[in-house]
Amino acid sequence: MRFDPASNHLSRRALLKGTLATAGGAVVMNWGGLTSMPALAEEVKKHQKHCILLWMNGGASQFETFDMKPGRPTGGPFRPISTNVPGLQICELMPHLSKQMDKVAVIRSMRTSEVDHPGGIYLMHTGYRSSSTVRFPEVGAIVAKYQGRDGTSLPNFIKLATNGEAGAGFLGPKYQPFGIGSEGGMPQFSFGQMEAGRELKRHDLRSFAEEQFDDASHSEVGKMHPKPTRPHAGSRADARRSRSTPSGPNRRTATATASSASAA
Amino acid sequence: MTYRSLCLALLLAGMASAQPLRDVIDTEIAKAQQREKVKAAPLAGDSEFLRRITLDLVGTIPSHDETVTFLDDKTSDKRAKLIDRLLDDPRFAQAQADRWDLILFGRNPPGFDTYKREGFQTWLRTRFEKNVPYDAWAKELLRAEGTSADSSAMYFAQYRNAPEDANEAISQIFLGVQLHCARCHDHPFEEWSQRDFYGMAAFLARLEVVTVGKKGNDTIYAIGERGTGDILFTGPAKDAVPGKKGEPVKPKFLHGDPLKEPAAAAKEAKFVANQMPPKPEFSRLDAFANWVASPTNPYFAKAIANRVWGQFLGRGLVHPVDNMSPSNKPTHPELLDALTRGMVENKFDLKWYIRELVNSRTYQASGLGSGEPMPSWFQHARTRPLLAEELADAWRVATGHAAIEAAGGKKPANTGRFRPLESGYVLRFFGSPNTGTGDFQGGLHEHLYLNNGPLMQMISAGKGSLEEFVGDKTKPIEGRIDRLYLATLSRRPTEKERAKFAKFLTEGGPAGDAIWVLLTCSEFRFNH
Repeated sequence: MRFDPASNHLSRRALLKGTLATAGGAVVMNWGGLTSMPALAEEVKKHQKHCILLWMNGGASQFETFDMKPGRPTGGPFRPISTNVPGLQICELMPHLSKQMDKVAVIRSMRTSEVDHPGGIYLMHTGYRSSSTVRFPEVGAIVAKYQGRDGTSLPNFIKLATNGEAGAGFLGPKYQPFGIGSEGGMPQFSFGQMEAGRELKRHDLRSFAEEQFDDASHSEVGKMHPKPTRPHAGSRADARRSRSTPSGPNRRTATATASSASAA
Repeated sequence: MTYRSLCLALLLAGMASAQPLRDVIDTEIAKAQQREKVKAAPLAGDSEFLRRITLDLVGTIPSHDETVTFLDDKTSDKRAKLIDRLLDDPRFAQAQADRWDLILFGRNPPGFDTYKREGFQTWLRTRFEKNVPYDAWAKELLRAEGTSADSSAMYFAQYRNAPEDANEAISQIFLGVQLHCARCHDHPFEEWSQRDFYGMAAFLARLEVVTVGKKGNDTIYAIGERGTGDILFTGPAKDAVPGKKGEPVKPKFLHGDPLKEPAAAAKEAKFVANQMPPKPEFSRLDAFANWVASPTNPYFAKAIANRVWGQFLGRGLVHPVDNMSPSNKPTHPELLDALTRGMVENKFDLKWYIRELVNSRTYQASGLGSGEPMPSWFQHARTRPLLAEELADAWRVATGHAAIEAAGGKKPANTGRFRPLESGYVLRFFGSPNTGTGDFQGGLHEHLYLNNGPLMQMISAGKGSLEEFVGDKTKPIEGRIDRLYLATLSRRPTEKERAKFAKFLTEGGPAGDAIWVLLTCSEFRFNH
């Protein structure tokens, strides 16, 4: 995966206010740079930055929001208004946002060669056209990989309702979105029906079985399989257990599919 | 050279090729291990071997009874006999077809309706049932004859109007080479040029997915081939500008000759709805299929020899198996040549080939005490996660569902491939447990499913189930725990394990929970 040299981002982004100075005086720019510059990734991590992607599928047209075309055949019925950034105009229906536009980066130059919605959604989520041989991860999974906290009891990538199903792609199930339904429901199987005491005993026995396999095989395999975390006793046991992230570190092993990428 | 010495030389040459492939494998592998100063693991124990071979050949674990019979068998050739029996088991065809379906379609195939491919899957399974030679069925698949209902036609339905995609996939799967970089530019460090890519894609440029009828609610498709039409080459993607017309590219075999073909048909045949499309006077696709699946094709035999080796030994001699190139050299070049030669000499008989692989000492090495899941020098067994299909089938065998169903007992409400589990969940949570680059990863969703999903209901299979046996307090505790381990992990428990589980069960721990522990643990999740 390749991104533009960081310097390109720096100069462009330095124009914006509210940027994040790193220890070395550099400025943190877009999330793409996180994957190519470890120092920046560390810095962003320290500041506990989060990435929120609001995907407005079928939302208002850009011609009526951020890319007005007054006086052109494509121009709509509304008029543009000036904003607190000289030269940047947006739709008159957003007077409050117009006073905050110094905090917004508007991209008007983007075009793609995708002709249909699904391909375009995939491209915008992953940065790649869909390929028959490679499963690309979407932006949330990328941020989870480079910015996510290990050992946290909350998933690093949460998706509320869904549009675009690229998921974690080749980054693997560890970065798969924790999908919450549009009505706010938890993912399937988040809750068990089991009484906490029984659950504890069952997990104790399972930990024992895992140890036996570790000892016998001296293999790293035991460590890559999700290990149960001890359920927390008490009334909130179920809810908290559901948020545990049991997946161990990612280790190399033979892939489940027979081919490296085509079948994966 | 005297007549005598000539005879001797011929005799020696004859002997060399008469040496069983399994012995060639062990010799070459041992040679490389000595050179690399790695120590080979001892031969796997009977339990370890039994579970591994059963999963690899028939895609599930052995039942309790099969396990006990094999472990108690004292004859010296019981492994070879077991291999022969499993190779003739109907489940062998199913398991290999599952694997090839995954290679050819993946979990989320492109193309309309391609998820409904029972016709294709049946066709594929039948190839393995009849042990049709690989080159024959590969050729059949690539010629795309018949319809999606009764043959392999669905394969090309994935690549509707996308000859470039079809070319990428076919060259990767059947030739073991990755051309996709050359789609947009000359490959920076391999020998493929962009012209090579389009020369190959040109063979596939005239294909069309045609609707030829209905079967119930399902549309039946066939692959039509036009008599005219070319793929257009516009040069490097970076120089592309809107509206720029490309130049037509003629078909050319990869690193071979251009196709000799008659001029394009003067009049284009019409494809009529609900009728099989007529064959063109000259078929580029047939020429392509004949070239790809030819024993003299420099890539084809080597690619399948390497791929099937990787399937059973964990990694290809060229790894990954579909990236053979001058910059990705085989770890054991002489062995790869011998495997390729054997494949051609035995006319692409995959069953023969697999029999040789799994009878080798190399395949039967222990995986215990090893560490590395994919050892480069094959000094010990590889470890691989079970496919979703294998995992669900293994749960069915272990819990007793399979036996109860076979005995005509309780019929599950759902009759799908993953019964009694919902296939949607199993595929979603266990369908691709890897990063696409060979790393295994369990995820949070897999864990939640194992922890809170329908496994407990599955374990409670009623009369004749493992739960019934393990929970039967009138039986001696040792026998119950032996049964538990034999039915799930195909081995007897250690003393330590017996003590721990005895304590759990006698203190009132439910039998279902003990079974759940062994169905969800790593030892069950992997083939090792």
